[in-house]
Amino acid sequence: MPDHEFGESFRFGGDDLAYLSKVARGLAPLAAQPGLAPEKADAIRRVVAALRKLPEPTPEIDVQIEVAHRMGGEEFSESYSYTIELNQQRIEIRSSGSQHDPAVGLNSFSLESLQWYSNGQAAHQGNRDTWLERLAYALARDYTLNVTDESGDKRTEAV
Amino acid sequence: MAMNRRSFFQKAYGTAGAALITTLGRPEWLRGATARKASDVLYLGPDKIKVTRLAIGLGTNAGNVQRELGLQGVADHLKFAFDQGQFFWDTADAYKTHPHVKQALKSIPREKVTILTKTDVRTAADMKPALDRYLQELGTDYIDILLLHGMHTPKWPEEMKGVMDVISEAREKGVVRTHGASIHSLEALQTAAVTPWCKVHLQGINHAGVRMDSTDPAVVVAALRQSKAAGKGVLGMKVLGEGALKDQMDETLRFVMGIGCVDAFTIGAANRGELAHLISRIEAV
Repeated sequence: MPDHEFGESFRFGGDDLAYLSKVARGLAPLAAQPGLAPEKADAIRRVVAALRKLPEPTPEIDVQIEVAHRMGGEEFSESYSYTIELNQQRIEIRSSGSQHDPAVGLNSFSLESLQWYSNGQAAHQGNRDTWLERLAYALARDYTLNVTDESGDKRTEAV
Repeated sequence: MAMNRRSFFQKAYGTAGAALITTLGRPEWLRGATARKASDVLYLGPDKIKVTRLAIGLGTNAGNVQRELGLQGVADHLKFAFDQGQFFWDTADAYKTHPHVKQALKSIPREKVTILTKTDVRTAADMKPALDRYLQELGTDYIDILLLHGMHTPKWPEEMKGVMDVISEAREKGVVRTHGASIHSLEALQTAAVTPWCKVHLQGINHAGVRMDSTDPAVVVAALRQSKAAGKGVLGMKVLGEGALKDQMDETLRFVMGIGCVDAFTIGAANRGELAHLISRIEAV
């Protein structure tokens, strides 16, 4: 992981900002999830707003949102996780998963990984549109949501 | 849709095409002059890989739609397809459906099917172990068609040279029978058409420009014609616009099968019913 130096800034290339705006659109409905604690909903709204106003930075923001999705049954099961982390040093979008076949064992893997750093570096792996497809699919089905907000003096537990 | 059929036809076929549409009232691709079946056998690209016109897609919504069927469910789906004459299967590492193909191969002889998969690896060092993993996951000792997944920059052959070299070496050893790229931009498609390494390519194509690399189908068709003229195997995806064109299935199937520059195409059905319907519509249009 590269060193992060304050005072430098994120650099976005090509259609990065348009993509991050799509990510914001994809995440926005999460804030309306029934039963979601108000502070979690606020954290999601904060991330959505921060993504939408890029490249302008959002001071003090430090939020992680994770959507997890499980499929399959006892014989062959799968679990996937779609995460976005946004803080002053890094914007990271990633997905990972695992497949468990009793005959073969557990196979864990990372899928997409997109990172932008405040020192101007970026690292992208995988098809970023696929991350959005995976997220949309999970949100249309059963999923669990974890939100961690350490922005400023806020500290919240995962839901 | 940004253009009507006449303007598309004029762009794609030129003045002669425009005259033809005036004479006959309908473009060639709408007349369905040649009966076609999903199970038609074709030989793809310079390495002449045996495929069916319809590839059984295992990557709808990044494979989620098919994986919802479960391991044995997908295997049964592939067996059902195989029993209908559909022996061309389209997967990818990113879809996480390799184990499902392996499961299907427990009931279908490997040599009776053609397997296409795709890699997201971006370095030569990562490609070698990834290829070994694909073989293990798929339960095979060779891959018929291996594509670089999701090329979108016009310089992709330069950027991917290391990976391409590893795949070329695998082809020489018979581990990969042919190779190419799946394409996610018009610029990358135009590059593919003039890149000798790219023996097969896969890109979005439908009559309406939905989820394609250009909203103007004529522009994409022109690039595909260039590829076809160069002897490459041309595969279509997003024929139903990721489901957005389901209610225009006949029109988009007629289009893709009628433009004369798409050898075969992949569609991901969610279940047997959808697949059976799709097969019947391909024959009917």
